Amino acid sequence: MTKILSFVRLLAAVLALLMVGQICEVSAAQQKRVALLVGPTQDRFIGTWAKTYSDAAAAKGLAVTVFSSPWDPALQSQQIDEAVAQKYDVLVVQTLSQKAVIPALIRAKNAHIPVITVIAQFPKNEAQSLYVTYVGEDSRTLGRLAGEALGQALAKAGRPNAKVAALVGTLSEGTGSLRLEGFKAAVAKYPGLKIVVIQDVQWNPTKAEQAFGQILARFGGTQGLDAVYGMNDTVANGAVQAAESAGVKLGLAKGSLVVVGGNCMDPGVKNIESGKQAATVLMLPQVSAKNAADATVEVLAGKQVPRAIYEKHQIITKQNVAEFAKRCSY
Amino acid sequence: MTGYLRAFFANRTARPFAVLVLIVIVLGIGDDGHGRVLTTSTAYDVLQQFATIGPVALALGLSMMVGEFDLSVGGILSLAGCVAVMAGSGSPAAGLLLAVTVGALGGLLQGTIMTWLNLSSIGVTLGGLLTFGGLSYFLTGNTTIGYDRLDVALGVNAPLLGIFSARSLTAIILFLVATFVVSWTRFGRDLLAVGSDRRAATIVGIRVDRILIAVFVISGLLTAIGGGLLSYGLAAASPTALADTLVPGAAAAILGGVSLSGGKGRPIGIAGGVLVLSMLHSGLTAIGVPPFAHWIVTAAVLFTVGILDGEELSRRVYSFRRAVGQRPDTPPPSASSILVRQQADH
Repeated sequence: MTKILSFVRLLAAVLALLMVGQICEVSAAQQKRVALLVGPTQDRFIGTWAKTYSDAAAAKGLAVTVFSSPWDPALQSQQIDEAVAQKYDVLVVQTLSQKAVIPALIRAKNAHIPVITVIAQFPKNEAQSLYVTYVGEDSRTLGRLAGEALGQALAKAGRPNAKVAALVGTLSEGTGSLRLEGFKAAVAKYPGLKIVVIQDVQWNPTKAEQAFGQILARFGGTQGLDAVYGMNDTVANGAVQAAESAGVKLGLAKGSLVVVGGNCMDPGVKNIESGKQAATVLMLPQVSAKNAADATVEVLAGKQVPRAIYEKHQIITKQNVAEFAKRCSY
Repeated sequence: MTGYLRAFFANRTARPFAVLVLIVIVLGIGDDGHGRVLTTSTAYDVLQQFATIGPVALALGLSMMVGEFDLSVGGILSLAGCVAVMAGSGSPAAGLLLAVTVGALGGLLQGTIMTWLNLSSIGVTLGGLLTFGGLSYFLTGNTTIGYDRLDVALGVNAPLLGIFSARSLTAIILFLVATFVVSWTRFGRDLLAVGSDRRAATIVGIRVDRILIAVFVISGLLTAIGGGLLSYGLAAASPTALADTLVPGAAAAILGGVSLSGGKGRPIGIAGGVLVLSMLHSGLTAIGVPPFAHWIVTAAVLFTVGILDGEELSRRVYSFRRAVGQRPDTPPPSASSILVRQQADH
């Protein structure tokens, strides 16, 4: 009995692990191997980006392995080290922390493996020597266009003097703080506009809804607050929902709350169509992922590529939303 | 032969190492002769993860061994990283020392509140988690701060003797010291006694409060060493966690034979648990298994160990065999006799 039991235990353990061996993929030796290191692929933006990139790169004959990390910079650093040890031909990295990634990028450089950074910029153009090119959003421009969209909408509605709230993405890292920088600069050009509160909601729509509910209570409905910038459309949608449950009217008319979002995502498109949101700013994962795949091929071929490959951003309002509705609903 | 195996598996401290050997063998088969698993770079990688998860797993494991749970490790890890990076640009050693002091004080504060007011560790350390996290936000002004000493950043992770680094050697030393303290000192004996039966420990004259406070101080200290060195290695400190260590740390402690109900487990076992998790991660990456499958496999191993650990399993198998008419010669040991034997193992 005891013999059988221990044998069963051993067998169970061996079988469980053997199944693992079956999943293992062996790539053809002659293919160039790309390690794509990104945040959590469950995130719709990152998921779409990674899939578009992998498909586009595969179509060009590259073998892509996706390393995803749940916003864990230490894990990403480890993954970069692993990819370096396994001698991938190129690393494509969405830097989760632009500071914590630097030592790992130095090790990649020392191993002569080229690095392409994507999606998130280094805020002050530091670490220039550690990567070949950056492909993705121009965060300052995204913030600036959102600020302009807000200023234009309020001016058109005849409300040049307005108090503005900003619900922003994680400020401790580059993307959120860069977009905020651009937004502040644009708002400063409209003398009547005043940013009265900046709340870090870490890209989290639920936090945005909660925080904005409290902000509305603090500013007494729309008496003291005229507009809100949600750094992406899911965050802006959180603000929309909080305003609706607080009974605050949305729209351009006097006494209503003006909402501007970012990224052009599904909830933003719907809110713009229904008049609850004034504008968003175009930034499509499909575009920058495609650009990144093209850049990867050129880097691997030893060609010179620009230091930064930004996608084109533009303001989207009710006038032109129909044109982008389909592409924004990824 | 199987008798030895059974005894080996029943030894909670030896078991993670048996699982480790098994994993290496299976990964070796999965590697299919490509020579990707048993390399110095995999060994280095495993030890680097050991350095990240190890100190936290040991901190958690020690708190579990006294029948408590230190949820504050995540907060202390961040806070220690921030303190080390902010204070350590001149002298890294001074920065680390300050971080460790902060960690130990954090543990002292929590342990004292717990024992003084007779509160549960979950509540108090949850408060600690939020407080220490909040302190790191305050210290850094909610930005990720860089560490200007890139020489230190590269130095702590630079390979030593092929597979080690200063960071992983530190973690190994911490485990060796903990092993010595738990197995060969009076403090260690008292610690296990408090975890096994707190009332009995009180009756035989052990100062239970002191032991509990000491364990939380040690937990804070270990976590702070891990957090400080992690931040040095990444050349950054952030109020938002740079590494998720609570879940893998707890998983490693459980894999390593520590019981949530206290009194069971050894630091060496916890080290084995950490190595199992790290080996799985590195090995699977080396043979090209996509990272999303890692947690599934890890969960499968955890479940397997957990199920095999269930006292009811052998009794179920026994009744099953009786039902199908094969009468085993001896009935399986009862739950109480297993308990006695496990205690005798230690």
